[in-house]
Amino acid sequence: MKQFARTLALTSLALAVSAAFAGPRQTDRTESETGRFSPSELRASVSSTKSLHVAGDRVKVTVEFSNSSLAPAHVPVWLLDSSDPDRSFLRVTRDGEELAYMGALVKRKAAHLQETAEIQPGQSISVTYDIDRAYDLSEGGSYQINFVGSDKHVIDGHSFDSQPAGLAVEADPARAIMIEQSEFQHKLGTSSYAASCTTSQRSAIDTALSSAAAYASNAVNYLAQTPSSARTRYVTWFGTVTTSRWNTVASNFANIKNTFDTQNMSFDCGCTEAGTFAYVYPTQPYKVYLCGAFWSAANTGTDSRAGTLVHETSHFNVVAGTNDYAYGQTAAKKLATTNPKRAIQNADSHEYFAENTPFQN
Amino acid sequence: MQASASFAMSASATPRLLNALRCELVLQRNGAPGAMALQLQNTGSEAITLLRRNTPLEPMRANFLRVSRNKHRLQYVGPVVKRAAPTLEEYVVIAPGSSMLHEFDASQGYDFSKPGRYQVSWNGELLDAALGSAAPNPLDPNAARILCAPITFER
Ligand SMILES: [Zn+2]
Repeated sequence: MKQFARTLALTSLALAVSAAFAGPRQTDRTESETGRFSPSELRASVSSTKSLHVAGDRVKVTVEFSNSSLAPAHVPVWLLDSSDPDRSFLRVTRDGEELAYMGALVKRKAAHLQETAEIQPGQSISVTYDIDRAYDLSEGGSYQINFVGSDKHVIDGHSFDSQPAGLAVEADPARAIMIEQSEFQHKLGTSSYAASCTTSQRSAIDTALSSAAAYASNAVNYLAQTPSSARTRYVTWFGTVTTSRWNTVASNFANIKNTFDTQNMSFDCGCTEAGTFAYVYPTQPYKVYLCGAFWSAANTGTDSRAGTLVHETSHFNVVAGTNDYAYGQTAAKKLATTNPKRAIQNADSHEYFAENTPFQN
Repeated sequence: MQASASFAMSASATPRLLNALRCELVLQRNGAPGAMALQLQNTGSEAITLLRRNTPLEPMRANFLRVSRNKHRLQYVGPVVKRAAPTLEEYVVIAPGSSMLHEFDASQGYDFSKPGRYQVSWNGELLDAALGSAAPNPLDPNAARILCAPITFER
């Protein structure tokens, strides 16, 4: 297991964290028989201090993190700091429907580069988070909240989810206004997930989306250059260069990039067909259904997850309205030679151009 | 492979036309609003192997029909699906002289709920097709096209 250079003492978090020390503090470093530290076993449990929240009440939940293993566990400092606006680790549902996350999106360094706090074996720490600035609870009713941990939240152990806790909220339209006025509010450029997407799938989608956005950026930059028949990457996937077709592809990628950067995309992971990567309804932006072949694909490269997201996004009528005229690299290359007009409307041609594997100039 | 050689793509704008295949859309009178059938007849002397993907021969997963109501084109509301290279099970072989009738439901992709005069046509595009008895190669598809008579009806 890794050693952490910057482990912060818990006492410095005293203001942000109400720490409840349950059980004896074990001071000896535990090593397993193999001589390495055993992975920590963190658990989270969510509870609500109030069962009914009337109009005007702030809605908060308390998450208790407890380390039931024999080794110290490390979590990023920000997770235990309730003044950090990130609430993406809390999932809220109402009547089984997941609410869109409207809170802050915080881009962070890789978990192992972050400042961490140590939770000792047998120790538990409770943190109270407000959730009414990250989720729109104005409709009222009964909500279920659970903690969804990923490798962003636990450094040296396994990711962990909690059981949901229920709470009731009185309908109050003012809550929606509070969200709109929140400094951390965002409506754009985030993702929501159907309940069918597991925690690890959500994190894989996030990774693929970042790579897809990078693909789109790269394509936009490439296409901002002067059209030239010497550009083999373009010619391979879109055929003979004309200024008009080059500009169409440039505009398609500008829209694709804009979608990744600013739109709220939603994902469904309920499709398990092994021979299918993904599908969308072009009339229903920006929902993408991910299937079996998506999960067995690599994050980047030919027919990758990131490339598939470029492909699917290009299908939406409001984005580029592409079609599937040819499947696979061989057919897409043929399409470029025989019918460039079609190639610039073909989803796979956009995907392979974006993936640019193997690299072409 | 001999069969695909006869389909080698020229630098022309459209895939090769498969003249031997006679194609017709047929209305299923007593069916659901979008119930119709595709009739294919091989009038040639060689077997024709074709990929069913993105044609009326499989459930609707692409926008391959042109549907209009009172001369206004309807938008496609069905899914578009990215799939891995096809398996041989996705092909159908039509022997010389034989024909097939395949029923399908066009309402999976277009809205037939409003009354009016509908016209439905299929673009006749085949992602892969081969003449003769050789097995197709899904990794090196040869697109082809057939001409298919449209249908017009009142709902
Ligand atoms: Zn597609």
